[in-house]
Amino acid sequence: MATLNVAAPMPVTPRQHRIRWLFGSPIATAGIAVVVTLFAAGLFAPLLAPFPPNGQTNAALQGASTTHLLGTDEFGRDVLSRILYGIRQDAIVAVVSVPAGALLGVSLGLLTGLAGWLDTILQRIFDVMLAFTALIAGVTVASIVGPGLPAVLVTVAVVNVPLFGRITRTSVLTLRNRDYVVAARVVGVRPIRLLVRHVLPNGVDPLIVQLALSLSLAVFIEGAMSFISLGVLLPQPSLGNMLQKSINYLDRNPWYAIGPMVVVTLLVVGFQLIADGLTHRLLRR
Amino acid sequence: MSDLYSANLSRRRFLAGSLGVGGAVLLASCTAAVSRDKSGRSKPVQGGTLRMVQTADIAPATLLSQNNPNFSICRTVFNTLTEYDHKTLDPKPSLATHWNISDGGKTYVLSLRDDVKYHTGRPFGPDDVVNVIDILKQDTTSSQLKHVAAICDARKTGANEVTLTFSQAVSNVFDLFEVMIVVDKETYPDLLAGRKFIGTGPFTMQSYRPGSGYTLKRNDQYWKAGRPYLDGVEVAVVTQSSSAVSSLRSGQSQLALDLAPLDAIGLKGSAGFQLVPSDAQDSVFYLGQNVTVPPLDKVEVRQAIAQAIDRERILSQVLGGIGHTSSIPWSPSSSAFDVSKRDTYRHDPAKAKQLLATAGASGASVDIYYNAGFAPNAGIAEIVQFDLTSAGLKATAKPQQAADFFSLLSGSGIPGLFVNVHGFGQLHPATLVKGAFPFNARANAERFTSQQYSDLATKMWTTTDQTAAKGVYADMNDLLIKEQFVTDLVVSSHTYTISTKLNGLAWNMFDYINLDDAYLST
Amino acid sequence: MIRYAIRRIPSALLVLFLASIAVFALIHLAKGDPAALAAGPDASPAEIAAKRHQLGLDDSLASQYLNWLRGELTGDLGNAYISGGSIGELVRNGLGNTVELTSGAVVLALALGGAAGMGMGVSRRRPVNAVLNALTTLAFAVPTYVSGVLLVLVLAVIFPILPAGGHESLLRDPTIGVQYLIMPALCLSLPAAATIARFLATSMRQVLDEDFLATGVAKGLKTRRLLFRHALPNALPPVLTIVGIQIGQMLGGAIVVEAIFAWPGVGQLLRDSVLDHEYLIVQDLLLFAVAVFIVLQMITDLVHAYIDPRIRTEH
Repeated sequence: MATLNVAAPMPVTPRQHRIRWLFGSPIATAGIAVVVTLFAAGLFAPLLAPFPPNGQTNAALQGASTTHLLGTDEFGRDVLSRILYGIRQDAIVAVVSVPAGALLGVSLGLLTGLAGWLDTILQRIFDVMLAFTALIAGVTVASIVGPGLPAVLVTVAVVNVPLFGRITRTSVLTLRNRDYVVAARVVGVRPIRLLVRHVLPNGVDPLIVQLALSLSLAVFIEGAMSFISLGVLLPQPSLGNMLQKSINYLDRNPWYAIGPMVVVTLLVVGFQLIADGLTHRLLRR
Repeated sequence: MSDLYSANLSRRRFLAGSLGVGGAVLLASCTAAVSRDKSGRSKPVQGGTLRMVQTADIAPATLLSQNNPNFSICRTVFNTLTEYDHKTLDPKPSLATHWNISDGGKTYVLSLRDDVKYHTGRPFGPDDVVNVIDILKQDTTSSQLKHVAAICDARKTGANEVTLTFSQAVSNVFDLFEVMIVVDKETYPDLLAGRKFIGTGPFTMQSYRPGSGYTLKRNDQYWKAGRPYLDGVEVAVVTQSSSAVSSLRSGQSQLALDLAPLDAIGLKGSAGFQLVPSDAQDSVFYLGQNVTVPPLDKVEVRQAIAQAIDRERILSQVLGGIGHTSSIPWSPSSSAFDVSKRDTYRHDPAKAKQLLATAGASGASVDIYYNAGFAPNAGIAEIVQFDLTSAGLKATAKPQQAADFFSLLSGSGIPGLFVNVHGFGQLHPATLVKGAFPFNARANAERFTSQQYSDLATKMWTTTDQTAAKGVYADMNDLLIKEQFVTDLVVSSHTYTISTKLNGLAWNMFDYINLDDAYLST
Repeated sequence: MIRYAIRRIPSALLVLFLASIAVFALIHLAKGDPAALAAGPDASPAEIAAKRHQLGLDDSLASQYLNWLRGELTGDLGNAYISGGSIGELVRNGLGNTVELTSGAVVLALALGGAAGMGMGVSRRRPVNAVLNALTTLAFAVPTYVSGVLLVLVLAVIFPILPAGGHESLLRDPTIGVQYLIMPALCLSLPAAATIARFLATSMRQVLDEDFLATGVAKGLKTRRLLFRHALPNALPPVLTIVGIQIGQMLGGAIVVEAIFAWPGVGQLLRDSVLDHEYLIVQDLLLFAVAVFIVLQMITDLVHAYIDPRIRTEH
């Protein structure tokens, strides 16, 4: 997927009120509604799921019915219940890895503003990291830590570091010669404090857009890695590994595939819509 | 054993089962030629290229180790010394024409064919047999029949005669002759590296494309006159079973080895195809129980686990109904097979719970290890986990990569339960308890040691008298059923999915495919 | 221009070198023992140790790295641990198939993206634009593993007109080969097609707003001629730069697409090698993927610099 290069550095102006923008754009609102609904469904899976996610029965590969809204899988487990629990894996990745990668990326990005040589080194590191496109990075991580949810968590964090790092660096470059920053420096504000308190808050808009894109990317990576057996491992359900298994049974219970397909698409597109909406509101005038 | 746990397992590498519902009819007829021409024309057709798909690439480095993907070249590019008759289980001549057993079963004098040439043109002779035995003894070669080769001293004793002297009489020498492919000693290093495949078989390797397949060409110098009928064989590696099905359906290929059971079953209904489970029935799915890890150190817990598993559901949901549920490791062809003991353990959660309670192990934790890259094992592990949880254990699935699984298995040992496949239950029972890693009485995967067991195993190996052996087998079955370090689940087998155009397909008792008499009708 | 190109090379090489160390170092952090797998199913610990020595897995890390690098430069990639087969050949076979898939995808991406981009860039009708816009948004965002499974469901299961997966060489049997190629190539091309469409649309709109086209219209040139002979050539250069990046992304995408359609390419090889701890193959393919990305990035930069001379002086 091509999201990696979407967040090209863009010139920004500082803004004051950042709460209104979230709901100011109808596109973003739609995205938020979709994403929040699905994640809430995952969160309340124990209450919502009609069956236990690993409850096996003799009724394998049943089609959709009133008992099993999306039918059953090859071990007679309820597909809908497994999807609800599967969403949790994406939620974990979104909540843990994306912020972790963003935090690390922003910190490194700020460091580029401290010294020229530091900037050069970090730039090269970002270059090398970016040369590993999302899935190549996933394969690399999986071959080190072994397949599983931890591999997905690490991959998503690692992929995000250079994305946030570069955006932050651009902000640092553009903002550090602004009058108020120069003024603060003259007054004797220490460099790190200067970066964190004066530069960062004013370069936050593109980071927020990137955050939405990164969440979309996170869902994509979880699905892709699990789909190729490098991510979440069965019997733990995830949208990716369910989709992978379902290919074998498309003629017996197509809902087994359609369910995860719809949910993954809604999540990925939902976050993308949020990013689109934010881009309109924040970055374009 | 593990023909099935092929070396480089990929995600969807499956095997299929054995005698299915209705497979019994096929079994009777599939000893030599499986697919008779429907129109009644049985006259073989000369020429044509057979196109075949298999789900895993061959692994030249493990050619001597009974590695499943290699079964398509073991008997097509190479030959073995003898071949069992599938009905009587008597050895029949192949590269060896006669054998004379003397010295109380310790000395085998083999007369070899004098008209056999390797594909390089070099004549085959006794030195080549000596050489293979030597290779089997080396540390870098692993083979389940190594225990036989290890006690064998091979010597050339004539222009076409080789004498094998064993340090003691053993019962399973012909298993070795059936399994051991006679490689060319001059090009053996090239064979291991996949550069040259020189054998004496009906086909020569024309090109090998690692990862995607290989092409065989008719060996015009083949020692069986007028054979093979086919001009060549094209083999494609199609890692996804469903894609292999597409290939069969579109007429692109006429034979698929080891399709996923459910895919194979799906094809069964369509005209123009036949699903043939091998009569060797040498794929036995089992649950290993490491007896050094609590609570598995208690025999009652192991028995409770054996009682808790729903073998019927494994058979239908994972193996497509191909095979038989079983509590003993033997195929029906084995002389140790005992139908009255086959169903000792049936799905009985209540009894399992009660056994666990008596052992004070209710709610105990057990981990289930398996190679997640091999779909049937992964499927079985999921069912086992569910069944054990239902019986009141805290069962956790521990999916492993192939490499990790096997290094645990043969290294420090698997700390709990594990799902795997074993073979070698189809012929001499001794081969199983001496050579197959889950059973090996000297050192096995479950860390089970018992003087009684190793005595029985040795007795099985060294008893060459059939009637005396029967008693030993019965004792062995009782011991295996009681101890449950290996909990057998389903006796299944390799499958061949063939187009009705293909006639005369055969295989040996270790499922090496044999295309000597195969031909394509138009 | 050439001087600019020469100036860019050392930094690309530096990144590549750093990446090679990163790949090697990272892979050697991995747990798992390929020797156990290579020794075969029933190997004893002694057999495994012998195998480890035979494979050179007990050499020092530095000498393993140098050996690897030397092999990489001389083209001798060594042998796979498990099958014992030549890695060079494995990679070549897989690469041939992946190139086939990627070429198909690039052609489709250009055709589909070009058509949609022209449509969006030129059309002044709102409904047409809205539909194309929605389609490209979806094509861009929907993951390949979703569109791929959907394709299989529709074109192989519900209406069985194409094979669900597998491969036949185009050279050996073009008619059958194309049937196998269509779905995976389409699946791989969708995100790229969407990106190309968006860039082309934007670029076309800008060009159409410019003066010389207005002059063209005044001179009475026919619309189609105007579009294809005058507008398109001017709109194309910025689009070209994105095509390079898209091809670089496809290699990653191929891992998933090849898995869906059982396409025997390097993506499958890489995935299987990771699962089997075939470090040598994993290293080679990762480095290769990274190198392709870096080279394409450099070409893109150069094309960009060629189009926009200001860039050359900036650095």
